[in-house]
Order: sequence, then structure tokens, then C-alpha cells
Amino acid sequence: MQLAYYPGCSLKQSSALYDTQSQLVFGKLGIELVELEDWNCCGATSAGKTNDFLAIAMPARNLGIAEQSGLDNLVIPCSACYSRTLVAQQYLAANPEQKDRINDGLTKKINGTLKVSSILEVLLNTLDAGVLTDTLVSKPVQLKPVCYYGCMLTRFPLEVPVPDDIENPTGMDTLVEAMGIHAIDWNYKTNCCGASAAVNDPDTAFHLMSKIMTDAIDRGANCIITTCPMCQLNLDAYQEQFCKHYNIAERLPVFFITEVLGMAMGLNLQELQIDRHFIDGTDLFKEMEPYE
Amino acid sequence: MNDITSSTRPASGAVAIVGGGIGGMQAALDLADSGFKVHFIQKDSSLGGTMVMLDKTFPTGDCAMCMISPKMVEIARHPNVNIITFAEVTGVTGAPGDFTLTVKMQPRYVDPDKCTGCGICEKKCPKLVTSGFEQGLAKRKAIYSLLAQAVPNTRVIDRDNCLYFQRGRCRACEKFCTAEAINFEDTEKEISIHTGAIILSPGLNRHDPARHQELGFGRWPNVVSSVQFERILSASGPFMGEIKRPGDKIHPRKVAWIQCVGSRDPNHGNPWCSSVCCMYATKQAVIAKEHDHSIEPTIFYMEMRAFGKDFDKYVDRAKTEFGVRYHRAMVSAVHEEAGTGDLVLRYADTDGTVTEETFDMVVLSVGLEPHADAIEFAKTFAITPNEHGFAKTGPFSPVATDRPGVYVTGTYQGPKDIPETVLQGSAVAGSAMALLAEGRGTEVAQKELPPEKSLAGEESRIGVLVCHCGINIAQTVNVEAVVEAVKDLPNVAYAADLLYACSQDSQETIKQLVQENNLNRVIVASCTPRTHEPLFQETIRDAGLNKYLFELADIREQCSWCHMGQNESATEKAINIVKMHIAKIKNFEPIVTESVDVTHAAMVIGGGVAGMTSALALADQGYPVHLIENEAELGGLARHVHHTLDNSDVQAFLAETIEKTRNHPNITVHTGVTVKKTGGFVGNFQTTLTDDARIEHGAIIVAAGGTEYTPTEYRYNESDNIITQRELEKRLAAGDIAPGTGIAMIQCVGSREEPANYCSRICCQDAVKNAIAVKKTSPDSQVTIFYRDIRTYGLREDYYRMARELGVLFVRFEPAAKPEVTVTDNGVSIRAFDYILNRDIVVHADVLALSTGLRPHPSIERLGEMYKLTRNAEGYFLEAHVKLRPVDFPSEGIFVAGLAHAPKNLDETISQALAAAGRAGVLLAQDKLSVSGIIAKHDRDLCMSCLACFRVCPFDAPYIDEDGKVSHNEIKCMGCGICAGVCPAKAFQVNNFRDDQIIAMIDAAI
Amino acid sequence: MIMTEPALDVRPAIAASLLAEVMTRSEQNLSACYQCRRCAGACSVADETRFLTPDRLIRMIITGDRENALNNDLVWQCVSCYKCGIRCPNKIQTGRITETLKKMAKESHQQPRHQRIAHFHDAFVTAGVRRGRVNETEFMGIYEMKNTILSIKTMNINAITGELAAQMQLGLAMLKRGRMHFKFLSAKGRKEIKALYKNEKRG
Repeated sequence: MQLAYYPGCSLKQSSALYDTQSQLVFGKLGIELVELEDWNCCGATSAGKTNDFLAIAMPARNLGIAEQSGLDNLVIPCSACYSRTLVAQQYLAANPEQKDRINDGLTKKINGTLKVSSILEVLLNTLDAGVLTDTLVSKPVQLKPVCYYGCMLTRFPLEVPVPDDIENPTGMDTLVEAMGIHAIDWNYKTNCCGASAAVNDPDTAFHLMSKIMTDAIDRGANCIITTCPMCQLNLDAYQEQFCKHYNIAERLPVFFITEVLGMAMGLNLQELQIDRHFIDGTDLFKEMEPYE
Repeated sequence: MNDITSSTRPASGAVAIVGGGIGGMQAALDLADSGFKVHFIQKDSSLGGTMVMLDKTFPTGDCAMCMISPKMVEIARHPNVNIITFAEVTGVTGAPGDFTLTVKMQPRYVDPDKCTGCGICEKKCPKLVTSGFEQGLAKRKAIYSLLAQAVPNTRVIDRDNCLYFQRGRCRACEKFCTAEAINFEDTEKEISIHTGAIILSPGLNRHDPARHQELGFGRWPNVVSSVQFERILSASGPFMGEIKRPGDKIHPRKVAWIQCVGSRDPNHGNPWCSSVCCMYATKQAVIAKEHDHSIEPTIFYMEMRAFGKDFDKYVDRAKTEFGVRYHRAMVSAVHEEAGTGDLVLRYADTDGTVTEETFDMVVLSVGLEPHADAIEFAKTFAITPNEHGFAKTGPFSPVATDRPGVYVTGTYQGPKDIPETVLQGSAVAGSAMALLAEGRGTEVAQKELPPEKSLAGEESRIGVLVCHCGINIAQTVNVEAVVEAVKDLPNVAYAADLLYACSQDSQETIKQLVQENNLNRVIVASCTPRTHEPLFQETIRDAGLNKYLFELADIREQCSWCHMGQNESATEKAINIVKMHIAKIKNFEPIVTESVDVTHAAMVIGGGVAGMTSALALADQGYPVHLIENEAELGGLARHVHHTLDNSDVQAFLAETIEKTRNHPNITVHTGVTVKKTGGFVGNFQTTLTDDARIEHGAIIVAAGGTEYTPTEYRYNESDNIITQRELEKRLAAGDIAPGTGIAMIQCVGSREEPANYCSRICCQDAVKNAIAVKKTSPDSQVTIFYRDIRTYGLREDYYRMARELGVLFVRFEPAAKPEVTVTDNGVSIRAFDYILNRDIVVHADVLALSTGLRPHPSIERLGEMYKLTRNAEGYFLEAHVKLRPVDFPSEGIFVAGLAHAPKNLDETISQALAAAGRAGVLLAQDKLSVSGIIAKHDRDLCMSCLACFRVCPFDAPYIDEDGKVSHNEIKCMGCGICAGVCPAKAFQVNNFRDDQIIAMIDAAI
Repeated sequence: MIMTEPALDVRPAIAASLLAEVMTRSEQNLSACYQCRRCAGACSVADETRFLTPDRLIRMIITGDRENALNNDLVWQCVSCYKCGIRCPNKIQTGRITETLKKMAKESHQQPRHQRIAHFHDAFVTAGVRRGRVNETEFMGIYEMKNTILSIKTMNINAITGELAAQMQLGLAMLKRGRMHFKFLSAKGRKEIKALYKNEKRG
């Protein structure tokens, strides 16, 4: 099976490991990720904040490319890219005039038939289809994770159908539980980590991250699992800094869902590039048990 | 309203009521008591509805179950009520007077005719199932009854959870049932029913709080719904009335209520206001505080909608007497503190600072929704639902659907509280009585009573039954010890305890005991005779005893409740109370009561909308009505109202109503006169008017109305640009407001402050209504409303939203910082503090409209004195019981409707007027009224005619007879006993309170 | 703090035009607000913006306080987490309103209250449009340059050195973990986007 695949800028640079892991994990699931040809930046939060036109036009081009690829399902691992692309699709569906104007300038036109999926949706489909469970070989028994969804999987600037509970999403928890790992319920599943502010308004971002960390630690988690490269990098790269600032003693590795899945599928730390985190989490994969 | 005066007048003596909550029950009793056959169809396995789940009701703190249970039993044994439970209507054909309903009955697997309600099956059933009635906080069995006091008192098998049905083995219930009532072969049945009218009272659904996951319901165990909290408070609930949080069963200290969960929330729930949550949360906070003084309740709300009679006072009491804290801000999220299970609430403080506060427990005040079946109902009965799924009713016909002969009542018509549901129950009954006037009495059976046993020469054989009242009594009083202490006393032939003496099966038990033990006097030691005495009196009458050979010993209100925690001394006191009643009842004798004829006519005082509506409804029932109006014109206050909130034409309605009233053959209108004097008594009043006309009538409806306050505040007299809201309405109707005119309005002028510290209920809607009218005709007009709380309760909330969306600016103020009005050259300017901006704002307007409050009509004071009717502190009439008798007075034969009772909107006035007509109809339908046995007996041989009694009797019962000596009119006597107290010759003795009986009690006590 | 301000004189015409502009551009129905303040508790940055929560921002617009509405901490510090709007019973997405007000502030040539935040988002979009894809190093370069120019203007040399040191530290750490890439990313489609944008600006 093939899925259209939009990695986005982050997965080609600071979060290249996420790209690698996604390819590997989907490979195990028998799914080929077909990267969009000559895709461009989605504009991310910044375009939404500064330029109404670009915020729609940039992801619109990618939608056109995906549609013309002949595949009907586009998977986007990065939450920011997923959000912007989905919003552009919804917006164009509701504003046909704008769609026509943008289409005029696009080589690959949009008609609006594409299904835009987050990585969670696609993984959950494989779970429902009974495929995912069959790929599991060794259970990472030391993990006591909290699942962190962040802002952009459930909250959008306009009304978009969300395939999970907006306030208490459980899709990632379901996946983790399917691996035989208990996902700890907590308060900060969908709170903002302030990724877009980390550089330009660090006080704000650090405050937000400190709250997320504190609840995860208080609930006995030993790691955080996420699907968003913005959240991952933010919580990982700045963890030393904000923890010191807020007198938080413990440190928690922040994993991509693909890392945990990959390990459970029998891939190794190096292949998955789990050694590329700021807060090292490789020790948590020392003890593995075979699935029955 | 349906045209019920047409020539094709239907004639049927039966009414179907679909939905067995308190509203349906009231309608059933009113109709059954006035000569109609009632088919009472209920989907659940028992009558009860929502009210039976509640713990206590405000403002009196009465136990909800204790109030409703006697009504359930009364219905259960009413010869004119056919109860069909576990059943649904699947089809309706026909027309008014001649409907045929198809009713599908679910299999119960228990034969109610054989079942004795002993409950052994439930004890032996091995399967535990999460109890929906207990809101998931407790378990029940797979064979169960909805509640302990279920009516009909039998059980039902929950097929989905029964081991036999699911796995093919068990049948424990069948094995142990000595009555052979279990029937696993039971099947669905279909019956058809003929009726003349249909009343729909399916009740409500509660909003599912799990839809708001940010508030943590279903996620954090110490977040509960308000219904769960009712069950937690309830003595018969999962924690037996002890306030514990479900997560760890710890007693919470800080408890937060979050209002508007699913209400006023078009984004996540329902757009309407549920009308009841502000008050139930206040009540829950007060009762929680009563249960456990260490609890610190906080209510988070956005608008305190205490719009009903005396509601604001209750909220004030909650604040000042009980220390309930109110915080005006919605809570955005409920976080659970890791490890402790405590809950962290994040909200904005008054100045805008966002704050976090930790609580031990959170209660989500869930809103009301139409019943889950509402839309299906509308299809089945071919009526039109409104946009929200409630039944659509007209602005001037609040209980009629658009299908003639089909009525709605209660929360199916819109969110409302218990009194308004009860009131509408009587209103639909009144409407059906009018529709089917000619069928009255054609399908009813007279109850056959066994002959009364003669007691001649018999020793007293007293039966004593001590009630646990679940744990209401039993957790404080050792009920078994009471039984033990009295069972061997002289004349006590039998003594035992009962779990709920008032339940339907207990009535059967009592009857049986009377027969088996040859008892001739019965004492029930339980609660208050005010609510429960009639029930037990009827039970012993059914057993062949004179009903006055009964005594109720109150060991709950006077013992277990007021001595909570002092179990030993409370038990001792309970024993003494019962002993005193044993001493008293020994000397009881059968009392023979008189009955009198009824004058089948009514007098209605007040010719406004309330009075005219009552008069028309009674006249349509076939009774002559005299309508008394002190002004020259009919119409009352409504003459100054042009439109309703939904823009219906009030003047057209009023003109039509006046026309109908004036032309109705059964109505005599007396304008420009008042009542000079009324003599007589219930069923037989004689009234003289100021023009000396004499009227004979059996009932009185007091609909004396109200007046509008004339303001002195806000520079009302200093500028022509400052007018009242009513004047603005008049100008708008006349087209006297030029486009572009800037309009400001100030709310609560002369309301919610001393000396009129109550909500006038109508002013918010008037302001919103006029603001919408201005904005619709002149969108550029700036309209600003300065308000304290916008109280657009119920479905009226739609119009508040409409006004905001039209651009009306709403500015809140507190009474301590009222808007400052300055008269300027070309209008007014108003300065007020804006709580959201946290700074003062100034608004300029061409016209300032003051929303002035309502006052009781000046005539009410005199009427109150004349008819001995009590009034509340503000001068409005006090009904007999705020929950269950909302249009009755304690004085029999007199009813209340409209503004004389409290401020209310036009549709509510109409409902209440129909209800008063329904209640009066019950009385007027009687051929004879039996006089109470508890009256003073006058011994002329002892009497010295000193006239002491004559001077003190509030009911004018003693009179100077033709021979110049005092005689006593027993029919007027209410049994108050003042005469007996003052009579120096002891010529007056009150039945069952005779001196010898009281002295016996005293002797027993010391 | 705001308590000492003089009373706000509500001018209906001004208020109506400001409200209409924000409502149209943000596509949010601000007038539906009934002041429940659920948004305030939801706001991720309320601790930072202090009194300036979404409820107050909406109120400023409704009462026509243009000056404060365009120039306040929330407009700039809002992280577009959209929690306020998700919680709002009246479906008012204040996240969209702050985005609109940023643009309106820019159009009226107001200096952003938080310039670094403005620089960041401008730099990101500039970088994205320039190459078709955002190169993290290039984007951070543009951003730092904007900040440096600002600091030079304000003669704040410490800020420049401090900033550079901090960014360098992070850069090194990233490099060490193999999370820094120097291969330049670009998309040919950038021309299409630029043309579209040019066309749009021409109207």
C-alpha cells in the first residue's frame, strides 16, 4: 500500500530522525510513503499570524501536488504542517472563489478530494485493521509514558472535523496501550508547549513547558511521547534550561511515537536514531520482553 | 387555544397521560379527582421521573421523595387511574374526543398482579449491575425496582444482564418467589386505548457532562455531575447521605460547583438556559453545608438567574447564613492534582487576573435537554417540535400543541422547575377538563369501600408501625428498640418496623395487619402528619376502620433530623413520643363527618389576563363564572404591553380574549366593582359586591394582579429623555422613536433592592425585546443595556443572543456602583464601571429607559385580610406549598393566579391561570364535599355564650343563633382549636385533640 | 493599573467600524460574547500578559478602544494555541482575532509591542517564500539580523552579544546531536507561490 507523504521542512533538518523513523515504521507495516514531488513549506504558524494569503496558498500548492499524484490519502507527521494543510483544504472548500484564483496560478490544481491524515490516524487505521499488532516483537517494559498531543492535532483556527476528542484525545494512548505499555492519563495532553515562542519569547515558552514537565513527573512518567517535531524539539532541546530555571530536578526523554513503535517492532536504537535526543532516553529501552 | 366552544364538541370521559413524572402525576390526580378516567402511560418501570432522584428541594429543604411518594401512592390506588408502565405509545389516530392510542408494553418478566413486592427475588439475584438510578455510584441487581417506593410496587428483569437470559442458567428469582410471579416467557404486548384528550409529559434528559472533557467528568473521579451529587446527598443514596468524594471516599472540604455545563453553550452543548441550575446548585451547596459544616462551597457562574419567587432571598441566605461563596467567572478547565485526587480550577478573578485554586471535589451543574424521545414523540403524536426539539406551543397557549386535543406539560415545553411543572400539570388538566366537559363522569368508577367496623364495646387494640424512612430515621433512632419498648404496653396489640411506611407495599402490609390482628387503632411513627396523614388514614379506611382512628407520631422532623448524631437520647425521645401517642389514641372514637352540597359556580377576582383566562377555562368546563374587575375596563397590566419577546401581538390577543370573555354565555363580567363581603365556606360561598350584587359560588380564584413601579431613581423626573421601559415600548409601538436614536437602558430599577428586594422577572426580557425592536428598525442606533444579571432564562436565552448579535452593548453593574446618569443638552450620558475592561466607560444616549419592577396590586392587602390569605414579605400571596401546591391556598376553595402570586411573564400567567381553573374545576366537579373530621365540637349545654370564641375565631364559625345563644357552624370550622383554648366552660373540644386525650399524652410523657 | 485611566468614551460609530473590520477579517462573531471569561482561564499566555486576556481584548474592540486593541501584550504574545476559541461557548476564536490585529497594527504602521516576536514570524515567512522551503539556519540568520538591527538602533550591545551567545550554544548542541543540517533545501515551486502572492497583492 502507498500513502502520499509530506515531510515538511523540519523533517528534512532538525527532525530528520522523525523522517527516517517514519519510513522504517511504515515499511514494517507494509506501507510505502511516497514523498510529494517538489513540495514547499506550509507556512506554519508564522504565515497564519502574518499573512492570510500565504497561509492558504503555500499549503494549497502541496494539496494540488498530492491530489495529482493519484494517491488519495496524504499523511503528514508534523503537526504544524498537518494543521496548516488541513485548514487550507477546509478553507478552500468553503471559499470556492479563492480556490479558483489559487488554482489559476498552480500547475497542479486542487479539487478537494484528498484525505489529509495525521500520522496518528494512519497508525490507528493499521491497528484497527489488525496489521500493527502483528508487527510487534519486543515490548519496551520500562516505559511509563504520558502521551503529549500538543495544540495542533485537535485545535484549529477554523472548524475542522477532528477524529478524536478535542479536549481529551486518546488516539496516541490507544496506540501505546496496544504495545502493552500503560499510558498515564494527565492534565497536559493538549496544552501548548510554546514552540513558536521558544526563540522569541522564551519566558513564555519556558513557563508553559515547566507546567507540562511538572505534571508528567508528578504522575510518575519517565518519558513523554509525542507526534509533533516542534513539541519534541522544544521540550527536548530546552529541557535543561527551563528545568533549571524552574528548579525541576528530573529530566524526561521526549520520544516520537515512531521511536517507541520502531523499538517494539524490533528495530534498533541506531537505525531509529534515538541517540539524537538532547535528553538521553536510550536506557529506557534496555529491558525488552518478547510479545506473547 | 383550541376552539372548544364549537358545536362539534367532543364527548369522552377519558384522558391519556404519557410520561409519569411529577407533572404528569399532578395532571392525573386533578383529572381523576374531577371525574375523568386517566390512562397513565410511563416508559420506565415505575412512576417517578426526575424528582424521585432528588434529595431535598429548595427553599424548604423538604425531602423530595417524601413529597412525591404520597402522590405516587394516591395515584396507584386511585380507582380512576389506570397505570401502564414499561410502555410506549407507538401510534395515535382520531380526533379530539375520540383518539385511539396504540401502546406497546415491554415484557417485565414479573407478573405485577401476582407479585407482592416482597423483594426476595432481588435479594437472591446473584447478578450485580451498575445502577442508572444511582448514576453509576452504586450497584443494583438484574431483577430490580427503579426505587424502593416504586409504583407499581413490583420488579422487572433487566434482560440484558440477567444470567438466565444471557447464559441460560440461574432462575434464582423464580425459585424463591412464593407468589410465582416470575415469568420468563413474558412477551411484548400491544394494547389500544380510547381517550378524548392526550397529555404529553415525557420529562427531560440531563446533559451528558462527559461531552466536556476539559472539565474532567469520567476522567477525574472526584468530578461528579449534579445528579450524582443529589444521590450522594440522599439518605437513600449510595453513601447514605454522607458527603464523600467517589474517588477515595474522603470527606471533601472545598467543593466547587460549575454552572452552565451544557447550557447557554451553543458551541459544546445547548444554546438555552436550563432555568433550574442556579437554584439547584445553591440548594446543593446549602444542604451540603447542613450535612457537614466543614464544607466550603463555591459556585462558579456567569449569571445568577434567581428569577423566581423568593429565589434571590434564598441565594442571599446561602451567602450570609451558610457562607456559600459565589464567583462570577466560568471555569475553563479542571485539572487533577497528581497523587491527591484534588482538583485545580483555573478561572479569571474579578479584576481579570487568571487564578488557579484547588478544590477537593467538583460538581458539574448539568443542564436540561428535551427527553431523548422528544423528536420521536413529536412524530408519533403528529405535533410540531420547536427548533430545539421541545414541543412547540404558542405564546398565548403555553400548554396546547398545534394538534387539537394534544397538550404538553412540564419540561417537554421548555426547561422549568418543579413548581412550574406541577402548575402546568394542573393547567393541562384544566384544559382537558374544558375540552371534554361533557364527558366528565362518564367513564369513572366509584371506589367501593368496605363498611366501617363498629367499635362498640371493643377494647383498644392498637397497632404501632415504626418507619425507618430508609435511613432518615434509622441512622439516628434505633427503630427496633422503639418497637421493642412499646410492643408490650397495655392495649398495644401489635408493633413492628417498616423500611418505608409510605410505600405502596407498606399500605398493603398495614391493611393486612389490621385484619390479621383485629386492630382497631393504628399509629405510624414516621414523619410529619402534614404530608402523610391522609395517606395512612385512607389505608386504614380501606381496611374497614374509621379513618380518624389513626395517629401519626413524628419521630423524624421532631427527632431524628434535629438530634442527628445523638442516637441514644434520640431513641429515648422517639420511644416517649410513641408512648404519648399510644396514650392519646386509646381514647379515640370514630368520627362521623358531614358532607355539604357544592355550588357549581366560581368567582374570579381580577379582570386581567390571568382572571380572564381562568374565567374562560372554567366557563368552558361548563361552570358559571363571575368575573370581578375594579377598573372600568378588562385587561389589566397587559393593556400596556404591545409585544411578547417573540414579537407576538399582545394587543390583538388581549382584544380577542376580552371579546371572548364578554361574550361567553357562562361568564358574567362585573366591572368597576370590588368585593364587599364574602361569607360561607368552600363549595358554598356567598359574596356581595360593592354594587350590592349577590353571587353564590363554590370556588374563588384570586387574580388581583400587580402594578408597575414608578421610579424616583436615575434622574427620572429631571428629563423628558428619561422614561420607563414601558413608555419606550409604547413609543416604539407608535413609531415615535426616530432612526438613529441612541438608547440606553438601566435594569433592576426598583427591583432586587430594599424595599423591594426581589427579581421582577419580566424586565430583562422587556429590555431585550425593546432593544431588538430598535436594532431591527434602526441598526445604526447604539443600544446599551446596563444590567446586574441578564435573566433570560429557559428558551428566552435565544433572544439575549439575538440582541448581542444585533450589536446591543451589555454593561454589567453591581448595586454598590450603579451607573451615574448625567442629563446633557441633547440627552443623557451614563458612566459605569466595566468589569471586563476594568475601567469606567461613558455612554451617551438620546433616550434612557428605566426597567422598573413590579409590585403587588394595592387591593391584595385587603383581599388577604378578607379571605385570611397569607402574603410574603413583599406582599404577594403565599401559596399552600411552594413546590407541590403552587396555585392552592391553605384555605380551601380559594386559588391564586397571575401577578398576585409573584412577578411572571405573560405565558406563565396564562399557565397559572389555567392551573387555577384546573384546581377549581376539581372542586366544582364534586357533588358533595365531606367536611373534615378534625373540627371543634360545641356542647351547647356547657356553653355560657360568653362570646370569647366568637371574638377569636378566624373563620367566623361560632355565631349567635336565633335564640341569642352561641352556636357553631362546623362546616366553617377549620379545627384550629383557638376556641377550645379560650372557652372558660370547656364547651369546645376539638376532635382527636380533646382535653382528655391531650392530658393522657402529658401523663404518658411525665 | 488600568484603574487610573480616564473613562473610555464609547463612540458608537468608531466602535461599530472597528468591530466590523475585526469581525470580517478574523471571521469571528465577537458580538456574541457574553463576558463569561471562560477564554481567560483557557489562555496559555495569561500568566505572561497578566490582565490582558481574550475577554478583555474582545471588549476593547466592542467598545471601540482601537488604540489599546492594536497595541497590547496579548496581540503579540498569543501563541495561537486556539484554546480560548475551543472553550468559548459562543465560538469566538480569539486566536484568529490576535492574528488579525497583528496585521492591522502592521498596516497602520504601528511599531510592534514585542518586536522580536514580529521579527520571528516575518523571518520565517520570508525564508519560506524565498526558497520554497524554510532552511532553519537561514531563517534564524534573518531573524537574528532583524534583532541585531533593532539592538543597534537602541544601542543595546549586551543584547546582541547575549543573543548570539545563546543561539550559538543551542546551535552547537544541535550539531553535536546530528540535528543540524547544512544542505540547502529549496522547492522549485517557490516561483509559483511568489507569482500567486504578487498577483494577490496587485489585487
